[in-house]
Amino acid sequence: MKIPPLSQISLAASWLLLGLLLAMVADPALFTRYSATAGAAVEHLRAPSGAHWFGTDQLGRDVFARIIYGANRTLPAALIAVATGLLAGAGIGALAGAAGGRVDAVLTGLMDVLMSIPELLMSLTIVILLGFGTIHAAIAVGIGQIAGFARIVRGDVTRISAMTFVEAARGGGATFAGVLWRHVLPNCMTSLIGLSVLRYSTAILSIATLGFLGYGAPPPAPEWGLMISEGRDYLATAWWMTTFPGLAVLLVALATTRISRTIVDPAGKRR
Amino acid sequence: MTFSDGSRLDAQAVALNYETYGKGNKALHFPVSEVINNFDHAEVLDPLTVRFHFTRPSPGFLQGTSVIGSGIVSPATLSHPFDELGVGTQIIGSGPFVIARDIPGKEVDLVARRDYAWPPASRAGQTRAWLDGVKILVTPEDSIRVGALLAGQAALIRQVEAYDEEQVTLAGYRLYAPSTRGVNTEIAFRPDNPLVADIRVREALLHATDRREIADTLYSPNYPLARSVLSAQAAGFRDLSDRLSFDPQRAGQLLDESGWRVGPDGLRHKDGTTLTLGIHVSQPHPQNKTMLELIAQQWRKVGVQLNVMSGSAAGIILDNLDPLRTPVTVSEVGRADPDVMKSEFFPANRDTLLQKGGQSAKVRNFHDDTLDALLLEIASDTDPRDRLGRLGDLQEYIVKNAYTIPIFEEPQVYAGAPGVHGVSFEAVGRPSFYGIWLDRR
Repeated sequence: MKIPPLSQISLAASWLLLGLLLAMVADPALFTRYSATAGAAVEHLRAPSGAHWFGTDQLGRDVFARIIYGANRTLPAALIAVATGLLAGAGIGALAGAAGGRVDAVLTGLMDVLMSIPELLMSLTIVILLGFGTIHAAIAVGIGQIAGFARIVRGDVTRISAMTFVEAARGGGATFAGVLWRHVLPNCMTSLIGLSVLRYSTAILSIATLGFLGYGAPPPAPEWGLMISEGRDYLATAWWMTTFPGLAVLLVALATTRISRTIVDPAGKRR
Repeated sequence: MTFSDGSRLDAQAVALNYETYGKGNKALHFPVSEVINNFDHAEVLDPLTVRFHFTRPSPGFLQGTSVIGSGIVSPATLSHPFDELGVGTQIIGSGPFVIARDIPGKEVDLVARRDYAWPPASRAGQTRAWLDGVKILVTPEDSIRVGALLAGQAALIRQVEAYDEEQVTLAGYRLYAPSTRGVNTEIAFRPDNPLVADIRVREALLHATDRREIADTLYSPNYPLARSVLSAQAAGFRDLSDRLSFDPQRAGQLLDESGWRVGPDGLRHKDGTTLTLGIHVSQPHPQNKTMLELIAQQWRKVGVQLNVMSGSAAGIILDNLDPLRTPVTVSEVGRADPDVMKSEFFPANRDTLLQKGGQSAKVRNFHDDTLDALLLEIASDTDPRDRLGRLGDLQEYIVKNAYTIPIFEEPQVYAGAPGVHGVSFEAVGRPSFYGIWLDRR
């Protein structure tokens, strides 16, 4: 029997993990019988065991249950973040690329300025302006991602607009918006989807970071970053409180990165 | 006796200090000290004698002069505007150590004064401090702080959380847990907020709080369960533990009586409003966030939602002044005198309950003249027995009105390396480095 190459195994594992997480988001109660917010205080700080697979935290809440319910919070939030970045970024990029000239110069300049600000710093500033909370943190992370999307889309749009079939469409009498919508944007899709999946993993990391810093969901919400932050005080005595949520963040980020690579580069030519 | 800037510590200097503490200095922005009440003026009789004049008796004065915030400082220090004294090196005192360096938020370096020769009576015979210096490093991360001690990098650490205590003692290190002897760590209500204006709601929440579970789950025997508003180690303490019992059934009954009915969502509603209260985490208190999460879990069982909020430091201060934003708050004060109650509750002092005309302009109605009168009487009663009796009545009054939910008696927990000897603490748990010596064998 031929053993499949490592890259195939990691890809399959990534899809499997993502599928599992989607199921967790859909119906967390299917995976655990414990509550994520109410614990039995007498059973606090128990090490991982048959009853509590990932142990319990300082208030006796099941860490495994909190990670599962946390997926319900972190993963949709990351989706909102990427959607914010994607929609606004693609809009700005497409406009800049298609309009060209002065509009392009202004928008590109603006995006360059945005890109010069570190993404996390940008998100922090925005979340402080918006107020704390998971959705606000997600939007803040999304705004931080706009410039990246805008750049990719602008590059693609400029390239595709110069192709003969686009010229033919214009010559055939199609409107500016029609050409952009029917011919140019669909051809940007490959790189956009690839980038979206990749940005999804960074969005998870950023949202976890904001949660860790206390800008995300308020306690007792089971948010992964918040869990790591709360467990930090118990690092020396209860390693499971930080290790498992940390692993969850890491694995999801790795899996989505792996998947995004196959979308951008399906044949695996660029190593 | 001299200050470390060379100027003399004489009656003139003492009088100037008390004029500033007792009456403040508007021009230089010095506030009135919360520990000195009814002060009128200080009169210099001769170079070593000062006579103090008061508008009314001030029995807490003697104790007030001995607290850390009332240290006598050099007249030069008092000539600086108050807002320039944020850096320790600017504050010139007459003690055995001098602040050589102060990097705010990072480090404070103390160096022993070689010419120090005026020890307190309790340490007669000693001249300069045994230690040459003390390097205080700010290490906010619990695990790193404990790690620094266990690795031999630190000789003494402050704030050892209950969950780290075992680690420290098992390694053969010593724990110190001096009491702060004042108002216990408590959840205080702001009755100006209509949600908690009804005494039955406050009483219900008091009985919905399982203080035993909090103490057993989060803390250690170094954190005794509160038996009154005041610490059991404070003079005038009155044991009221039978009124602070955990009784969820009674809590539910009281809430029903006050019209808050459980809805289909498990929360209590009345006239379209939900019984949801907000509270901010109080960073200085041990494990405060976790404690509030646990209380939220307990209150949820009787249908009350407690939102544990976070925010920027400035936002928290503003929220805590607004009874509508924070109908409940976490509070505690350490001071070994009955006047600690005035510090905590009097509108002109910390005003924890937020009364009208106090610290917050956002309060509309709430004021309690009986409470204020009791606090003022205690501040000026010169008969010690009478004063402690009134103090007992005051504790009873606060518990009877369910103004606060006392949780535990807050200690200051320190841990020291085995070779560190002579560690001692003042009345509210601050360490004294003067008598410390090291055994390096």
